[in-house]
Parts: sequence; C-alpha cells; structure tokens
Amino acid sequence: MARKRMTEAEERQAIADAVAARDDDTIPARADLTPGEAGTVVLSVRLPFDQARALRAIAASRRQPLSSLLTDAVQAVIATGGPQLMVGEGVKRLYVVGAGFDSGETLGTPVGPPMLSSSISSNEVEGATA
Amino acid sequence: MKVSGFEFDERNLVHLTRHGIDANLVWDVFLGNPRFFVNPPREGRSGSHLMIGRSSDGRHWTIVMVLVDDAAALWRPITGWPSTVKEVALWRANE
Repeated sequence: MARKRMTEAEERQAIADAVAARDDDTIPARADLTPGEAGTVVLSVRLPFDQARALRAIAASRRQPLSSLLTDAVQAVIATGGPQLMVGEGVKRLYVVGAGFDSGETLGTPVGPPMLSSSISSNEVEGATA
Repeated sequence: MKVSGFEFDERNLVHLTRHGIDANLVWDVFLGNPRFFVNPPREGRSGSHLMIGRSSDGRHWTIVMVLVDDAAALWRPITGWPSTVKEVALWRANE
C-alpha cells in the first residue's frame, strides 16, 4: 500500500464506524501489531508566550535552534536522575524541576519554582488527578 | 506489522483535542506497552484498529487509528476516548 491520504469524508466515516463499534457488542480481535523499536518521538511543550520568548532569546544567544535547546534541556533532566514534580492544584500548573540547569539560562525570568517550568491545561490536570 | 509513528495534522489534532487527547497523550499510551485490537469489518463498516493502554498517570485510553503508510508503519489516530469498562477488561485479558 502506498501512502494513503484520508479524505475528510473518509475520516468522518471511519470515526462514525469506530464509535458505532464501541457502542455495540462487537468484540475487537487482538491485532498483531508491535511498536517499532527505533525511531524518534516528537513531544510538544505548552508554555506561555513570555516563557517561550525567553527560551527563544536564550537559543538565539547561543546561536542554537529552539528545538535543539528544548531537546538538550529534556536530555539533561533525564541524565540527572529525573525531574522532581510538583503539582499546584490550586493554580492548575505543573512544575517540572530538574537539576543541572541554571534558572537564568533556562527561563530567563523564573516564574514560580526555578528551573524548567511547564504549564498544562486544566483538562490535562484533571486527567492526571482523576 | 509495526507501529513506528503517528500522523498528526490540524484535522485530527482538532478532533482529538475535543476528546481531551493530544499528540503527547497518544505517544504516552504508545510508549506504555499498549495492546492493539481490530474491530471486525461489517457491512458498510471498515475495521479500525484500536490501541488500548495506560497513560503515565494510570488512566486507560482507547485510541482509534488507521494505517496510512505500511512501508513506514505510519498510523493516523482519528479519534479516541477514556477506555470503557469493556475495553479495560479487554486490555487486562491480553496483558
């Protein structure tokens, strides 16, 4: 099969079929699919504009693409034994605090706890605590 | 058959977001050793593949996806939802 581009109508129909199957007595069969072992994953980070601008300024000062700065930051967190997580439920904000960063370098102007900080939307927080 | 990647664009991301799902969550479930299933095709209905698994916060999710490029093992998530009791049982039975 060559690369298939689903039309909007096909995709709508496929969604309707899947929802219909969910609601009937259909028992899905185990499928012989295996996750590929190699490759890369693209993850996104949601940040307020001001924090994203601060990161961009740091990347520019290093003459480094913003993407590679983010990648370096995440890899540094992993290399230092993992981040500490603090969830401020009142403000619906998740802080990822990792060692190995100078707060000034990471965020420019620290907001809340220093180091790497990322806010997530309220429904994600609800998902995390449900 | 393998699953090596997912296709995201504005269309499926907008739809998935309405169900509380984003690309990070799809990867989260995928990286957590999910189980894969296929809905048997019926008259007028194509069989879609389901990825059922847990996100890193422990919640079960069902992601519906279709194969868009078999050479690259690229799949397109088209919709999803928090797993139903039936789907969680299915996942457990295949652990």
